[in-house]
Amino acid sequence: MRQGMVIDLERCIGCHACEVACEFENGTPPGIAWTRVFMREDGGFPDTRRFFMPTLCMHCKHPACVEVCPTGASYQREDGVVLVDHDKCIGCKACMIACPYDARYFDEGGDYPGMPALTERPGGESNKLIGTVEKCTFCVHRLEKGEEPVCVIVCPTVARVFGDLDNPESAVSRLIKERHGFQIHEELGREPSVYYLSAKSIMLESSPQKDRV
Amino acid sequence: MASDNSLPSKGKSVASSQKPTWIKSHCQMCFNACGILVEVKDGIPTKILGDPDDPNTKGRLCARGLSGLTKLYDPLRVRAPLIRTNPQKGIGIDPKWREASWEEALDFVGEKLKKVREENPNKLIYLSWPGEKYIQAQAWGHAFGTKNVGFFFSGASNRCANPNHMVGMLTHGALVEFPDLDYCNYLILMGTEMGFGAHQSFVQLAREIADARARGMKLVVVDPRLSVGAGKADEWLPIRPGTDLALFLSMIYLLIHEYKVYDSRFLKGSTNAPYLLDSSGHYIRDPKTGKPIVWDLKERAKKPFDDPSIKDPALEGEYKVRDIQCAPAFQFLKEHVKQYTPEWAARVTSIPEEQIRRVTKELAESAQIGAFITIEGHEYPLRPAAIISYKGLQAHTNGGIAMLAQEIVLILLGALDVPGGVLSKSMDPRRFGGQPESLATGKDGLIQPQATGWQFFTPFKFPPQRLDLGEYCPLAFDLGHLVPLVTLDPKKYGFDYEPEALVIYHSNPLNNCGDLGIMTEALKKLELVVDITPYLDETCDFVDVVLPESSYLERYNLINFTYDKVGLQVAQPITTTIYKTKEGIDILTELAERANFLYGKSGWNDALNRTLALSKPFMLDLRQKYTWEEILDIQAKCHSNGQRSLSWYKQYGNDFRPMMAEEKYLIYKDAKLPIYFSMVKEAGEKLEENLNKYKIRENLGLEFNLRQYTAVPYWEPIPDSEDSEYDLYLIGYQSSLTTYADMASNSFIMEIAERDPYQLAVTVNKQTAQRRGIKDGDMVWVESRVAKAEARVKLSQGIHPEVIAISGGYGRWINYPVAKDKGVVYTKFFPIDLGYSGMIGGSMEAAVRVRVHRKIQ
Repeated sequence: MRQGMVIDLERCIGCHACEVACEFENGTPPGIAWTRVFMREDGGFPDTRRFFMPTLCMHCKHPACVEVCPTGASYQREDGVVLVDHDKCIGCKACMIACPYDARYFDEGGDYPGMPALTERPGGESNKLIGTVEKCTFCVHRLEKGEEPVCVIVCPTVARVFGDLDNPESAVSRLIKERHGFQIHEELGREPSVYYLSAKSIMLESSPQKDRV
Repeated sequence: MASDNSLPSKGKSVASSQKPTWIKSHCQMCFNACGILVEVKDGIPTKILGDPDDPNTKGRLCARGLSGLTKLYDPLRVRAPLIRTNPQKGIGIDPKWREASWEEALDFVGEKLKKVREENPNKLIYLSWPGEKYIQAQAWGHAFGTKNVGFFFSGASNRCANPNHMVGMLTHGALVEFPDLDYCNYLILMGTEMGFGAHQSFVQLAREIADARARGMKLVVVDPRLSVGAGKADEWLPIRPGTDLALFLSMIYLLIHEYKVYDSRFLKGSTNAPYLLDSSGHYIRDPKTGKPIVWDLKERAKKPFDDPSIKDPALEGEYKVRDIQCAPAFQFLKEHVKQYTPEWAARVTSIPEEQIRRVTKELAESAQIGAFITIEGHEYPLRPAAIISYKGLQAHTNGGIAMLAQEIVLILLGALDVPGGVLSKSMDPRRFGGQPESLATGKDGLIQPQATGWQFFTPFKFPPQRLDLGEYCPLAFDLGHLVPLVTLDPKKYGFDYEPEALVIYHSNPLNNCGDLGIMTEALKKLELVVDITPYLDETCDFVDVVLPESSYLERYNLINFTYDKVGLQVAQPITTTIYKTKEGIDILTELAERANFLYGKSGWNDALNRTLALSKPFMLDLRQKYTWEEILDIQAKCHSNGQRSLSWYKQYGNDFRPMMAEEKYLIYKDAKLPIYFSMVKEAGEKLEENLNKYKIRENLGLEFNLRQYTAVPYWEPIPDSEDSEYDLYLIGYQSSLTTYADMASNSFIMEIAERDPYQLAVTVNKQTAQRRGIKDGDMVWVESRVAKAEARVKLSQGIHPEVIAISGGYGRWINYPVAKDKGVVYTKFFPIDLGYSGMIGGSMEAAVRVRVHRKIQ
């Protein structure tokens, strides 16, 4: 069993529901979102196209972050989910440098203006995450209850699908096969668990304009 | 039970060893009423997710809905009634509020309203638009007796699609139109982000449009800007603003003259295309019955339109009836559109002729005229081609004419209210839990438009009563944006009274209407401005009394806002009220009681009975006072024949069932749809008669665009399109981050907006900018004839060279750090004037001419 995700770039409309859901689910401070949405525009007027690309921790099969972690705080489960033990993490940030997907964040604390802290974070009142590095956990606390990550269940266009990459009959496996799912930076050999399905509006031409939105 | 003292405090998260409870409700961040589940720990709401039991959204939810808790904990929340102590009113001038008890505030306002009502109820302007209960809330104004009810002092005219409502209803009973995505193969979206960020049923349509595209539906988007939809579409037609009308006119030309593709069978059987017209464009009528006449080709005879012996009514040709030269309406239209060639349209719209031809051809071919499909055992015409337009096309002076043309294209294809085509969401009792109704037959065999609480063909009256000039503009639902202008000098427009009071219920007119000079002067002129709102906003600088409504997470509701379901959906308090706030409808009830129009016939209860379509034994007793909660319980029981109470809905969330095929398709039954809008022409003729009779032009110097009251659409440009001094168009657009919602305190949304390259900037075409020496990231002045503002430029290849664009929802000057002075508000650039108003439906020109120059540092 290997937990994995497929993101259909044809369906994504860049609405940020996934980002906001993740923030409330995991109580991240302002400035940190474990899933982010990028936008890319290509072409010249009037032949302009645009697509949106959500990214998150790739839960790599061969995670660079785990390799470089000096304390063993970053580890990988049997089902492929890569996690951080915040009791062991000393916040050295080596993993942040090692990650090719920019998917890790150093937590300095802080609350959203005007909002009380509503989400219980590990450690409760003492918030163990501050001073450590954190990232997407595939909502492992939900997986344990048989529920999918919140980014998957809130997406209005059903752009994200979650499931077992080791099961050829699972929705994720079938989508990867039928729609030629690809990984980002496949050449680095990290073997991400997150695959993407292409979109008609992806033009790989010159003068790209890409932004995190 | 949370109270002010036990709100979770900063830094300390809500830890709980208890299992959380989840409460079903519906979102009210916009007005689409998506089902939500709210997590509650120790009585404190901590998270919102979608409700998987909502068959429309299937548990999905947008960024606004997910951040809805910001509305509960919003620091701008009003915690008790506020009464101004500073008599000075102005932008940024502290009202110096003092807190008052509910009794004092309600007595004070109620007494004043009572006095106004006794003198002349029209002196009250009631701007009421509380999302999913706006029809119910507006009924309060009708019970009060004022004609000034609706989006008055604001305007669905500039940010919404009044023409869609009026023309859609006159054509096929459609308040709003939706594509039949189960079968549609070709969808053209014009000036709307339906399914991509805005419009109604957004979360549902986002999924349904994605599904339809996955099965092969082609998507074409017409928009001056590369909207989200345009960026992902199969084709983007970057149109010059306000010229969609020209595109439609040439589509009609192509269908009739070149491709000769149109649904003759449908035109002959279900429209007024065969009705004979004389040379002045009036129906030839049977002298005995007064019925319009058609020419039966088979029997070479004239017959009344509904004669069962008609074999084949002529669509073309010229005939003589009683010595009068006449021709079928279709022939009339055919002759009329000869001038609107695609070559002409290409010049006007700036869309290449080849593209206009190809898209029209593809649309026509996709319509599969002549095809049938069997659904649920019934046979229907299959026409899998649809055009949906909204604000971008309609918020122009010619928006109503464009809408007439749009409906004609769809009628030619036979694509209204059939599988694959354009469905209508009407204003029938289904909204409040009743069953869908088919359309009745009205005058001249055409459909009878009907809508709860709204009026078609406002009767002429002099002196006028409606401050939006409704009596002078009989086919406008509202020209609410004109109300502040008229308020400044009602005599000039022929009024014999001065407005005195304004009650606002869920609107922020200073931020959403137009010219701030006119708006602020008009607000200052009124003696009493009352605001029923949960939050302080920019308009509050001019308000006398704030009556705090509870946030949506503390309120009840029952509504059906869907386009394709029957049943009701609940909203319920997730927590008892945190502050001393009340449900808005209860506030209205208290005021109605004090102003003497709660009880008895024509009172507030009576109005609610009619609005909610309540009937014995479940209706309001006209002698009793009810809470909103009690009213909803009665509504629930009424529409379920006693089977379901409000408690049932609180537990189960909704009882939606899909509409059956026979409830969705061919809802016009035997009534005919207009390809020739005789009722519009007649309304104009009647208006002209009255304007002459009362010498409106001579005595008041007022001119009205009578030409717009036309049975056939014609080309008319939007104002100032030749203005060389203000040489660019400014348009506003919607985004899923802010549409329909107030994000002033929403730090989750604002964080995303600040990162997005477009949201807080003004989008400018790259080539246009380079020619003017403007670089990406420069600060520029954007200036219209009535406003000026600084903005940061974002260059783009995704916008028409003559257009700059600003996203709606920003540029707030409310004193709250999250949103203050971030981005630009585009509405303030709009001039407020009769000359910038459209007559058919009631639109405001929302493509305003501006000039842009770099700010010298």
